Amino acid sequence: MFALLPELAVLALALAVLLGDLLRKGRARELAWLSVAGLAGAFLLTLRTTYGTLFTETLVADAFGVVLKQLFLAGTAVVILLSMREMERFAWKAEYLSLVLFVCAGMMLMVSANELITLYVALEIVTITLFILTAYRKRDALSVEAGLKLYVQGFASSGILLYGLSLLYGATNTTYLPAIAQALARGSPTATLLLGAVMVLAGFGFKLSIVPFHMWVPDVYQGAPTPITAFLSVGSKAAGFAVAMRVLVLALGSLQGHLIVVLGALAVVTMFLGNLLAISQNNVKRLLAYSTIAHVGYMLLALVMSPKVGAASLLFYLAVYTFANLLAFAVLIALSDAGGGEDISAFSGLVTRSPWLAVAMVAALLSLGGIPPVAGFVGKFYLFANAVREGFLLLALAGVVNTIISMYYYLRIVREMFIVKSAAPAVLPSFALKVAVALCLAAIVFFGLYPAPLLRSVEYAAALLVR
Amino acid sequence: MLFLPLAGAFVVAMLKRERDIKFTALAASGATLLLALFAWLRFVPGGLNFEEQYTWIPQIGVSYHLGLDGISLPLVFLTALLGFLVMLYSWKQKERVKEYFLYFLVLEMGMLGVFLALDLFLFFIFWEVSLVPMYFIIGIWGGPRKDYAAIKFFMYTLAGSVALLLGIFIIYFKASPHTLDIPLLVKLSPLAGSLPLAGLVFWLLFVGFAVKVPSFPFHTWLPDAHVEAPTGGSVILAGVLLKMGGYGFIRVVLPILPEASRQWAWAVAILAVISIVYGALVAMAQSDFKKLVAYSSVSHMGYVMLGVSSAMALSSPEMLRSGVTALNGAVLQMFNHGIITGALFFLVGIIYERTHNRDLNKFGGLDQKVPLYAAVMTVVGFAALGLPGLNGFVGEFLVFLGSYGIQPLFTAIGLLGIIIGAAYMLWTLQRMLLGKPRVEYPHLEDMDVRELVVLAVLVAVMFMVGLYPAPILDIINSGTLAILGG
Repeated sequence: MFALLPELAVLALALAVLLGDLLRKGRARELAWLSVAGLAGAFLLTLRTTYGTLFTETLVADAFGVVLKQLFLAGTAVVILLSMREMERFAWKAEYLSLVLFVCAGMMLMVSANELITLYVALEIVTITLFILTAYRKRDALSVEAGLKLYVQGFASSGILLYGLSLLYGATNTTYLPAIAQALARGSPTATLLLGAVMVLAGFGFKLSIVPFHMWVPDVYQGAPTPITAFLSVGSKAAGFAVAMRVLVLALGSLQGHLIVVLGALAVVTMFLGNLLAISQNNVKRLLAYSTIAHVGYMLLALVMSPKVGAASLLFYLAVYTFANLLAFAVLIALSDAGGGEDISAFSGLVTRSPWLAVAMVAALLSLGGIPPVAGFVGKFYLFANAVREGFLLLALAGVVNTIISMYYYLRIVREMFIVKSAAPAVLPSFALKVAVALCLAAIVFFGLYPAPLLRSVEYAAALLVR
Repeated sequence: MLFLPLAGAFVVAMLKRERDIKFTALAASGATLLLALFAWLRFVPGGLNFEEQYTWIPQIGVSYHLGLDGISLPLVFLTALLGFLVMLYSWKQKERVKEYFLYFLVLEMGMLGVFLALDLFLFFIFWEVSLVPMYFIIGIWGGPRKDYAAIKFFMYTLAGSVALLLGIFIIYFKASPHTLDIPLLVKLSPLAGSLPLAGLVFWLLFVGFAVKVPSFPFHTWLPDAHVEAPTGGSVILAGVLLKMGGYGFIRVVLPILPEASRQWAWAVAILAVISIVYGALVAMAQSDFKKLVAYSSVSHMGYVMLGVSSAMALSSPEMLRSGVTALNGAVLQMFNHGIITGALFFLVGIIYERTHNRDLNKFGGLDQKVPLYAAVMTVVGFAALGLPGLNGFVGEFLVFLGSYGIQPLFTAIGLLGIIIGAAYMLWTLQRMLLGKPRVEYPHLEDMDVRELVVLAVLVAVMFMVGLYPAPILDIINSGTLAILGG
């Protein structure tokens, strides 16, 4: 029971926020800070997790899940901090906050799921809540369109996923992940099983925006309220990858030989397409959408490696990617809050207008591009080095070539900030935004210069995951 | 020493007044220079001096490992010296002062780090750290095509460094225990006995370092970057950044991959000779002073590569003497080239500031207008073409002397470079200094004290190394002997 305390705390927090809004109108701001404090409390609770299984083994509490939960809690807190201006501007109620918290709780359940039905239910909590959040700018046609797109593709992919899961059940007679792994270990895979695995992969493909299931991403990212875009690009990706790790690599581990070529090819196509299409984008949200696709491509490499190495690489990459991407979105939000719009030109001359924001953005972009001394470099180093270790030299080569391509469009933003001159006024971010920027910046600088503690915990988590 | 410039950068970031900023930057780089001098005086030839090692990221076998030996010391000194002189030269900088000095200080730290690092991970980090400030320096304060030049510089070097990174990965996983520590890797020599793989790693590293050197055919970023960069940027770029490539060959490729080096030395030598001759010929065809110096760098760095390739080709103990000589020459040539080209770019900058013109054909008779400038220019030009008594000669002579014993044919072709080099340098001097003074610039001011100090220091170094090279050669020799196992 204690293992579930963080999830329960987040749920309780979500309900408390709803209730608080009901009792005292117009206190969204205070409630937002309360949520951040609550998330910090839940973060502390995760430190005391007792490992084990719960509720007849439908949920599992392990180190792998804990690392991800901590990531979700920190990420959600940052998203709430980033939302404050937007909430004020559109006079959103605290209901928005509780939705964000529900997503967080859902993601935490997703990574704890040890059984297919629980997994699916947790996934749907997240997906459905995200539809609502994406369309939350009710009077903005783009936002509503984005919500609708997410809705349509979300249900289509959920259907495919569900069908795949049912085939797995049909082939193995169990919905428990460890039991599936045992059943598979006993005999050679049947056609039903392979079909199921491919459908599960396609289902995840939609959620994770793997090419060719990526079409919805740019439009949805552009239309959604920017904090929610940030949330989509980090939280749901992290949760999706964690689940993919548990299902595809661990439960269906003995199929990896069959899936490896598909996964490797998808990884290469995804990173190339994401990066090449990002080059010509002028809207920064779209640019970051394609960049997210590219990063998904990198992270797919983790799924072809042996589980232990892959899990460690994935966790580390996810952690540093989360903070770097949130930081980039934070600066974008600061600019668009100040009325600068969302195009690259909003960044012009930022270094003279607001040097700290410019420095933060450079750090974020260098981290995304994998240039030291920020954390993204260590993430890429670790991921690609492990790919080489596992013998995937060509995949690692594709990865580093893509790193070069990606730097080209990240530099476009850097150039706009540092080289182009602008007479636009200084940007004065809100206090909440400053806190968010400081947090993310501190994280990527710290993990860049001293990655040893994080590496230790992800390697520990990966070692426990695969026994 | 490594973190002094960084500390300076932090202080600069906090300061508001331009004067304070300039003063802090100068003080930080000056203190670094003093430390470098101190290190030089306390240096004991043979082995690593001032070694430091702390565990850093044990999970991937990375430690914070620094040290100085006979090869890195001259380059560290060169970096500190040019870093300081650039700060001094840039005293009049007006546009975006704070950022300007900030980037130069960060850049200085990155370059020092590359020369001090004894761990491949650390080496790579500093390697990349030096990339970003240089991008800004070219991009913000550069000439008319700065955008193009800056991005070209960045993308080229980045492409090189990811090749380098892949090579590092393979070395790492072939070593047992997995480590990135350079001295340890030299001892383990992880790729011995698997030549095809070692060859692959060799070429990956080659691309990474050759882009930086730059060796033909990876040199095309250099003329753009040099021409567009502001004076200080060109000085550092040519004076120090290029040396990082040559240093990489000597520090990483040569000792860790001896067999593959021997196997491919001929290819490196061919590219080196092409760089020498081609760079010199293209330089000859330039009328833009800055472009001429840029291409002469390609040619002069070719000498370095020729020396390195001779050391690579070393196959029998009888040749050791020649190999060591060639490698000594290569290291000394790097040091000299930094001093000479640094001085040349300063000279270009000085005359450009006054006339806003770099076209050689539009100058003439400067010896009458600005005699001091003309005198310095003559000395530097003679050093560049390798006149005995000045430093350029010593390095080139050693390279050719050592290489002749190992690969006579390439050396003979390479000697052509000297002749062409002398031709374009003399022609340049003639076009600028001699002849009738041009009417376009009736009132040219000669160098002021600050500029004179900057150049006097460099000229003094040229004479010192040129007339009495023994002290610096002793130091270099101790390093190259250790690497070639003599």
